[in-house]
Amino acid sequence: MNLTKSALHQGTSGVAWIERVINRRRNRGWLIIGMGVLILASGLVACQPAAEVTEGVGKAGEGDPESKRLVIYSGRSESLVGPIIEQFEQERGIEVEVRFGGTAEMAGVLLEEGAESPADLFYAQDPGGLGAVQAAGLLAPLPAEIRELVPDRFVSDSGEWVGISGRARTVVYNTKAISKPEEQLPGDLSGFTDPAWHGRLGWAPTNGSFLAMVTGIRAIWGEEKTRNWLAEMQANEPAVYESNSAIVAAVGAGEIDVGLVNHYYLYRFLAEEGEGFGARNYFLPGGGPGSLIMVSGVGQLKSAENQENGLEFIRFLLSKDGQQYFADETFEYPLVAGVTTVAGLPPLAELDKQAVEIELSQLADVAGTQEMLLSLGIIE
Amino acid sequence: MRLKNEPYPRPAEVKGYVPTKKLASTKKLASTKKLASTKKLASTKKLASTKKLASTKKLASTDQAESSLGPGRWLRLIIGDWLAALAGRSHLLLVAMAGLVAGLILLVPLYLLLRSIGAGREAVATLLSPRTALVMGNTILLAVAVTIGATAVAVPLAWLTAATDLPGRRMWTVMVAMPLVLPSYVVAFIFISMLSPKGVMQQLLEPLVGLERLPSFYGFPGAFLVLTLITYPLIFLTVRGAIQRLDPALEEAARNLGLGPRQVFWRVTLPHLRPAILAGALLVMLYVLRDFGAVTTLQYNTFTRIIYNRYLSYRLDMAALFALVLVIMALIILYLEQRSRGRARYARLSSGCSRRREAARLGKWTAPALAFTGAITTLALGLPLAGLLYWVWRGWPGHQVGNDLGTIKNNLMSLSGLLEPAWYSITASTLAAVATILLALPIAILVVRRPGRMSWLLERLAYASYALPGIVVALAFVFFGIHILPSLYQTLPMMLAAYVILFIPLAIGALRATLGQMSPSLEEAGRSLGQQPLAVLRRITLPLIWPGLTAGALLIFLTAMKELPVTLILSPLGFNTLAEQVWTNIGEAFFARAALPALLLLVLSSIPLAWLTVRDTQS
Amino acid sequence: MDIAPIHCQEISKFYGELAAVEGVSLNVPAGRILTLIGPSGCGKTTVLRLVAGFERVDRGEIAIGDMNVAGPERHLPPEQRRIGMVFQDYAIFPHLSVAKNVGFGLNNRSSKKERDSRVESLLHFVGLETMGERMPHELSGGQQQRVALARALAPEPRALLLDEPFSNLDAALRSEVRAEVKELLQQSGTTTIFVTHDQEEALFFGDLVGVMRAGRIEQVGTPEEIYLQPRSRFVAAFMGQNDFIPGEVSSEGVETPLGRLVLPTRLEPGTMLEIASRPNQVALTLDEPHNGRIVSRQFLGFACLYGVALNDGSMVHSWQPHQFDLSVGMAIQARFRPGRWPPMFQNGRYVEEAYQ
Repeated sequence: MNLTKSALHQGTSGVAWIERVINRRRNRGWLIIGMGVLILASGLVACQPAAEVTEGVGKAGEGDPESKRLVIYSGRSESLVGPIIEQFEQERGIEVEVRFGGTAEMAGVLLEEGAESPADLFYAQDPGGLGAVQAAGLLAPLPAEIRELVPDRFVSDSGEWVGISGRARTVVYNTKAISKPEEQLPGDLSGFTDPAWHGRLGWAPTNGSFLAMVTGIRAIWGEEKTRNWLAEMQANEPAVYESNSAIVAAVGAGEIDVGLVNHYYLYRFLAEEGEGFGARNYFLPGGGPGSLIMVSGVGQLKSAENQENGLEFIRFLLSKDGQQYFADETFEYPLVAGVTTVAGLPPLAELDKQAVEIELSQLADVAGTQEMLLSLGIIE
Repeated sequence: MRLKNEPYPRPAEVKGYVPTKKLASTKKLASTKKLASTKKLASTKKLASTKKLASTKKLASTDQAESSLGPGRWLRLIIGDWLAALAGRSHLLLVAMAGLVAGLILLVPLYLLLRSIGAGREAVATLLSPRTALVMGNTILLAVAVTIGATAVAVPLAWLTAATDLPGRRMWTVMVAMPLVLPSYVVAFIFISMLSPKGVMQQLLEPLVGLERLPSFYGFPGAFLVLTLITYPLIFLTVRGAIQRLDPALEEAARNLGLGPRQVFWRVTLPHLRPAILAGALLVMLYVLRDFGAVTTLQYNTFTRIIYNRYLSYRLDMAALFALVLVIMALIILYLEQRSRGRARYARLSSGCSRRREAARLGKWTAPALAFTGAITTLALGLPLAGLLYWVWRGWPGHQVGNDLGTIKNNLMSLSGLLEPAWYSITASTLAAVATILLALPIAILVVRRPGRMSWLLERLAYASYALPGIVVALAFVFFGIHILPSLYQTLPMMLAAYVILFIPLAIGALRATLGQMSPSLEEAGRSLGQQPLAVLRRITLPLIWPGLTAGALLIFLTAMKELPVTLILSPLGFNTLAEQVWTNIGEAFFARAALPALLLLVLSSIPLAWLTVRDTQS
Repeated sequence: MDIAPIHCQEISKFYGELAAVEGVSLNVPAGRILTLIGPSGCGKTTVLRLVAGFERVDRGEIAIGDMNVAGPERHLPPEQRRIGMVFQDYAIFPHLSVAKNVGFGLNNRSSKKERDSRVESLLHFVGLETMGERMPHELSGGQQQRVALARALAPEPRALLLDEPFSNLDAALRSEVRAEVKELLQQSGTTTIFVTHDQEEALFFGDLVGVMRAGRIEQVGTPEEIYLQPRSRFVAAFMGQNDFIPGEVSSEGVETPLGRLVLPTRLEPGTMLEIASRPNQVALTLDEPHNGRIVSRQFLGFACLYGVALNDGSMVHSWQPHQFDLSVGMAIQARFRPGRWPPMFQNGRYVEEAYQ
């Protein structure tokens, strides 16, 4: 009993000592900072590079018929791919949990998460994000049977990601200002550098699709011609918008006469505002880089827990049903042969004849495009 | 003449009184002999022995203890002892909580420092380029302009609704504060559709006035207008609170001295409102720094554009470096605010039992006042509301127009489909409000009651993180979350922690204002009456700061309802909020689908706002 | 009730380099009232707060009864010291009624009945029986102050601390309230330390008076001692109205402009001293030789206060009854009235050797 008492005394005086230390004015602040530093120190410890995940060997749950789960990080918005994911859930009985966001944000998260990421798949709106994630070594090569579902050029050269559906770059024009598009609009992107287009054009240079398009232009025309084109376009002082839908809205209102966008935004405006909406799409006939197909793509993470389910999902997206969904509901181009696009869309083959040679991977070099745009003062 | 030699009269004997001689020289009193001999004082021996005990550095270092107690019992003893000590020494608890919050706050700058290591010369070159300087200049210009504009709008509104007899002022209060609820990019979008060169306004005016094209709304004018209308509620709420706490005696004294009502306002009232105005202005300025959605939609490049472009090219390191620059900008602004705030203390000298203030009579100014209030409300709330309703009307079933490509699912979202996101929104926002207020309390108490360099630094860092775009905070938490606490990663607690970091300046501002108004002698009185610090907090401090506390919680609730990047990135999988619904649909130009979630956001936010306003004006 | 004496032994409190309180020793016997007085910034409130426990002592010790509450190794938090405190701004809790305020510190009483009866008896004690359910903002200043006092006394503290409690009251109320409060304190018999800057209050209130300056105690004693036997020039100047006239030690005593003080002294002849003279010690006659001139006359009701400019340049004051109808400008002879020796100071220090 006596011992306990003295021990208590010790304890109390230990506390009292700490108290005294705390209560000296100059100590208190350091104590607070010290606690903060403690938390941060553990952060520094955590900075150690994550362990390598061996290829091919999945974690627990792989192939396990019990785990009916799939985690997707999607850069495509819920309104577009939500229904097809639901369909997949219902048909295959797999519970899919999706994190929706912007492609750049999702890629950034994956880069930060590294090998600890809870995601199985990364579904990106454009190749840039997939390229960055791939460059960080986070993606696993896809099995051959999946890669063979689409034409070769829609598969990355490392085989780590594959295209799902395509959007065509197009020119949206104001019907009042341009009554005869075939005559009044140039046949090629380079036509827009004509001073006649000064102040009548709109683009969104920070948009992922635009960046992918310019990357494609660099691949087709080469660095110097692309640079010149950009400089001359800049000289025409195009209006800078944040997104494709803003451009379409502006064109429809008559604020600008033409804009460089993806083809499918128009239909949403038509659905809401009716046939009277004053804009229409014009697909550049030259087949040049102005009508590039932007593909959305999927890659599987090396650290995926539900690998089989992930592959199942990719197969589903590339199946007839999946591709038909993209054709019918979102008005995109299916990449799998034998699926009919919706009426009114020029067929894939007609569009980017020249772009046929471009590898998907080449479209992923967004950094180079950004540098070029930066140096020309088009973006900050 | 001789004076008699009279000796000093002896003072009357007082019981227990020590005679003069001994007291006369304090040196004698100080002799330990006298005091040490009194049994009442602890003998020096005892003092020495407690000294010995207190100086043992480690508890477990005494051989005696180790040899007689097993490690298990020893541990239990220490823990029990600590708990008892903690209960009795709750200022330790205060320091510990402040330390926890400090750690959280330091996470983001630490992440930025770690990430930006690889950025290198390229980043520095960009940083020092004239174009970056131009963008920075534009940012500061916008921040200053918006702050001035918001102040010019908010202060009169606060005065009108809180201190005058404006008709319907309760309703006006709610409506004036509502724009806080709307996401900035939504308002920007609607304003563009209304006021762009070929927007709705132009279409309306064309037949009337023949105006072919409105002057460009994009760039500075648009950014200035939209941001002012979104941020003025921040100043409005803080100033309104301060007006309610004003002591009417001050103004009465001024009137007594011959100052007219207008002079009283300028020379007495306004200087007293200055700290509240500055607090709100600070929030506005930092908000402009961090805003991305609205300014980019309005085609005005601010510094966040530079940061975001680096995220777009997946250069996380450069993005982190530029974010650090933003933090430095914020710290500079904070420093300037501190300088202008000065060292004034705002605790009331009396015990807070002042009279109710009488509402000033507007008289012939009622009509102009109503016009002003109505105009601002129409612009800030009415226009966005009209835009949303218009989208709803366009998406109404039956109103759908087909096109030759078939229909697209741009119809309205079903209300039942919105129930789940609404529930998640409310839950997350309420929890965020509670958590943030709780965690801000130790810092606010430290800042107000025990000001020092460290609490000042903590407060500065907390505010500086407010200037960062949400994505930066989110990525910081991803980094630390996945490496330190993977089990908590992408769970509600971690998301709440990130919310706390995002919103803590709002809480600190509100708490600081109310705590500062409360005289510290109230808490000391409680302690002199035998209440331990926690009990003092519970029985005295909390009831008295409750109005300010709930106002702060409301502000956080409203801001959290529309929060986006942190929610997108850190929420548990399947967590779906109304803000996300709005964003995803607007991004894809599904305006009708975006309208209902936005309206629901508005309605749900207005309920607590209305309730608190009613309670405020009733008390 | 457990009334305890208060002992402060050489307590010091530093803020950085500045010593707010230095080497202060006080000894308040149980049941007595000590008044601390001094100019602003002299540290009296700091001493109070050290005793209360709101500040920590840097040096020295404080004991309340047999409880050692403060020292270099020990700091008992305020809530455990069982000391009551009345604040300058009363610090009445605005959100609680008067009764709840008074009963605030009574939590550890066993039954509600006991608490209520104690509250009632205290309200009765301070004369506010009917005000139990009122809210603080409905009370006048004097009533609020009485609530503060009742609240502090309710938990039967071992000692009571009052921090300038009357400074917020208007003058008429002040004297009335003062008398009442002194009566209450003496009835309750609690050891009290009372801080004020009003010397009239100090002399009226305390059994003991302590004069402080710049963080140190100048003198502690009964009011009479402080007033009549100041130990330093500062105390003499601070308490009561004092004029200082020069004096020179001679072989027969001390030569002053008001006459020669014949007293046995051990000081060297030729030593210069300062002599404190009070208005009641100066007698005026019209006899020759005149050594001064009346320069002011102030009617005080019970007497007249005359200001006299002496021929050597110093100034003294004198109280005279109405019979002496003197007017400004008259030449006068001013002398020390027979009675006590006036206090004498050399370099500010009280000179004991002036008297044998």
